Amino acid sequence: MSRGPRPGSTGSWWRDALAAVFVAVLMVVDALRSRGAAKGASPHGDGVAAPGRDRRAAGPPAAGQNAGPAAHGEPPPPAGVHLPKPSVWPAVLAAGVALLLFGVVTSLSFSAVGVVLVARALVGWLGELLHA
Amino acid sequence: MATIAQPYAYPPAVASRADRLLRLVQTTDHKQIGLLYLVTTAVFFVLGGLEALLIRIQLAVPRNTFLDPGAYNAVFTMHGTTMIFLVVMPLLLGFANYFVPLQIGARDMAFPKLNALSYWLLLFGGLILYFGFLVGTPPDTGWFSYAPLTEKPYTLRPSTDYWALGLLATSIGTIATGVNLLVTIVKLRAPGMTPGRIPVFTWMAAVTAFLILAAIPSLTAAQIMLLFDRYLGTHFFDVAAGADPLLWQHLFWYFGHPEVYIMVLPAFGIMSEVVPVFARKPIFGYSVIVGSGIAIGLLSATVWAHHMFTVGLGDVPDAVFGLSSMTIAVPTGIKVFSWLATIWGGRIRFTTAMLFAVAFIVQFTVGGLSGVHFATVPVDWHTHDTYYVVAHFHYVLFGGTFFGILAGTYYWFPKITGRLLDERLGKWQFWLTVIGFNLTFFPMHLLGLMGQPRRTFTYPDLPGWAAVNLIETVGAFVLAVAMLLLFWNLYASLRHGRLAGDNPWDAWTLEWATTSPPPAYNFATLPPVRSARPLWDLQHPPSPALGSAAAAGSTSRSAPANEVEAHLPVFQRLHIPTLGVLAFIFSEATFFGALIAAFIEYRTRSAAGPSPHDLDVPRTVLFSLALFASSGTAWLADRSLSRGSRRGFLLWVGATILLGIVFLFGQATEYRRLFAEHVTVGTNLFTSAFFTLTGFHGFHVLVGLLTWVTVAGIGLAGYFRDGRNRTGVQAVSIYWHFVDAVWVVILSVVYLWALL
Repeated sequence: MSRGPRPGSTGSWWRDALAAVFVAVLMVVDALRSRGAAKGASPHGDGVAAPGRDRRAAGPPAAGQNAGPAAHGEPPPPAGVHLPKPSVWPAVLAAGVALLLFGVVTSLSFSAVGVVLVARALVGWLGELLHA
Repeated sequence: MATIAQPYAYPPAVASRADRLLRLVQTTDHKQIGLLYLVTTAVFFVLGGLEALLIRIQLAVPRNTFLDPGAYNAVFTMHGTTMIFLVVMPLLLGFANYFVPLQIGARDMAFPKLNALSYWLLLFGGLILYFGFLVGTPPDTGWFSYAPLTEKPYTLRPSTDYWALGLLATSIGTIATGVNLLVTIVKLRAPGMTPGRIPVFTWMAAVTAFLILAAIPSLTAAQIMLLFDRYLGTHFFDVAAGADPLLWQHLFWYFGHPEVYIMVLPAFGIMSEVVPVFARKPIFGYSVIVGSGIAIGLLSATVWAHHMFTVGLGDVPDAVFGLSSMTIAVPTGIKVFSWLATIWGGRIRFTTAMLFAVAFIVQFTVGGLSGVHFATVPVDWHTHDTYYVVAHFHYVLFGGTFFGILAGTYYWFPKITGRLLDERLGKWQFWLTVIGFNLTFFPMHLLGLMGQPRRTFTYPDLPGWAAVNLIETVGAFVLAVAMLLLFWNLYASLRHGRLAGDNPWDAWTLEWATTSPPPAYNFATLPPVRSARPLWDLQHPPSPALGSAAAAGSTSRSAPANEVEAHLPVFQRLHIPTLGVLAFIFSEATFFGALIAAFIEYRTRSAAGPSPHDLDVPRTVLFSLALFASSGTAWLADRSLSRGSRRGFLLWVGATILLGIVFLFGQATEYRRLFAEHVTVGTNLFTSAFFTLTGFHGFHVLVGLLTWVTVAGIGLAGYFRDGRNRTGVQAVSIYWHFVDAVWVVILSVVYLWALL
């Protein structure tokens, strides 16, 4: 398999620095997420928001649900209303995909960090789905 | 129900900055995601606008040296790419994100987390695109990035890579948004909202989502081929190796022309909301205006080659594509007449939103008519590479779409923020925008007919050219002032604007039935939906009985009988995950269609080297049987789950995984044999197309296998006990059947065809 020369692949300090920054961001995101979970920042019901015909979301809320909007200074939703649960994993997954692609043109260390982010986000996302 | 909300109150004062940021990063609320889209696109709009000003400064006088040719190429490439991929399309998707769930009475999108993912991919994709500037290698081959110009021998720097990779990221997000919008509109409509009662903006969002799924994967496939050429040594666009020099153009414009309608149809939808409300009349010909939108969506997939008349396609293709391009003017014209008929005889309120809507009709019609000129092949030959084209598409996308966006901004800002935009400033901004726009772009028609070529960094001092170009530059700066006024209006009105109330325009669709801004849960109660104008019905009850219901203000969301529930069309009977996977598969079909088309074009095009006849067909057929059998075991797994047999389910899932592994093993050993014979992706055109097509299919099989392994894992943990959570398994099964079906096509085209 002939692999062409990697444009812009000459060594540069900013790539390693940026890769380190991204790893640090990942750690911060994880820490913030843990903090958010500890503070009960994700108390909403999960899943698809109350649809017109889809009745999956029409059941009674679990204890502690719907505290989120009240925390935002809004009245709590009516009984039985399920709101989508906040999640950091979509942002992490997008960052992972972006880094994976960015690494193709810059340095594969970015792609490696991207793969880690993608894997972590998918596991986290799946975990939230299973607990929904 | 009609209570006046407090002004925009999010984020709360009590939250710390870190908490607010965390909430924003974590949000899955369609309204906040919609706002993120709008704010992000506003930032990119400023960047794209500055690039436009640089272009106009350079072109203000003949033989200008303000920008050198390379810088000019970069600026005009980034201007086009930014405005199309990072401004207009995501801005409209931002509006759709915010207002489609509200218009159909839903609490959120069907897949809220996927919605968040789409936004973040847009942001990160845009950052990759602009990263090129930071390292001094901005994309510089035009927003269309024609290959072979973008191939390694002609573009050695990684500028094209930033363009392709950045847009790959945004495209994945856009496709996810397309899936989300379609499923949301099909599945989450309020009780009573039959297809004939869906607001026109939501209808146009649905058609747009369909187009996104049908068109964008073609660009994705082309970009992957380009990146493979640049990094893996394939030859998709390598003319020296015998590649078709038009392949890129076909794949790009198969995306590119529907893209125009992806950017125009939602603006048509905004028009169809704004015009009736401010003309105080129902939209003229609701079914016709919806039907014409659908017709535009379908026809837009048949017109791409009108961008390629000058390459010499031949008389028959020219005639076919010229005719189809003229045909698309018919449904478009129907819309214009529908808006005019709506205005005719109405009690018109000339708010800023309505002014922008009226200007839209005039300017878009000018752009549409010049579009018909380009459908006339000989006219196209003469004007294609001139400023006549630049005038045409700016009249469509700025004079049309962007004016529609501005109409929507003035119309919906009160709903988003709880405050009205300043009308006096708005009218100043309107007139400055109209004057600036027409000063900038109308003279380009004349310059085009005079022969000034587009995409060139300067021009000779021919009679009349300098004066007209200077006028255009002045117009661009007037436009810039107008946009500054808009941003000031947005800022000042957000802080001090007049309180709007729930329904300041006395409008009729459901988004106006909730507070301004809407609460996180959108609606506590919904009015009954008995027409496309539920709030009008509420104010004008046809009978005393209904009047008392209306006087009560609303109906519980779950209370009214759903008269259509018993007769749901097939798509609405599907579960949300199943429908989502079907929509995704639709986009995947386009992607594989592009790869298969490239393979058919290249399978025997190389004079030397390996060809399909060198493949071991019987062996591949044998391994294919394992994949086909796995579809059967997947079906049996699903059936076992439906019968509540967890053991049988796990057994058949295990068999599916095993058969999938056998297939991948077969593919891996086939590759090993070819590599041992020094047959690689870079050997010739056939191997480039062969490895790319079969490799991507293998990748899909691998993803499917990983999903099955996950299903098996959570099944072992007891997740599917008693047949629960079956919809997820059904969705995985459908994806797996699709992967098998694609292999039937690949096996036929790549292997069995070689036996003939």
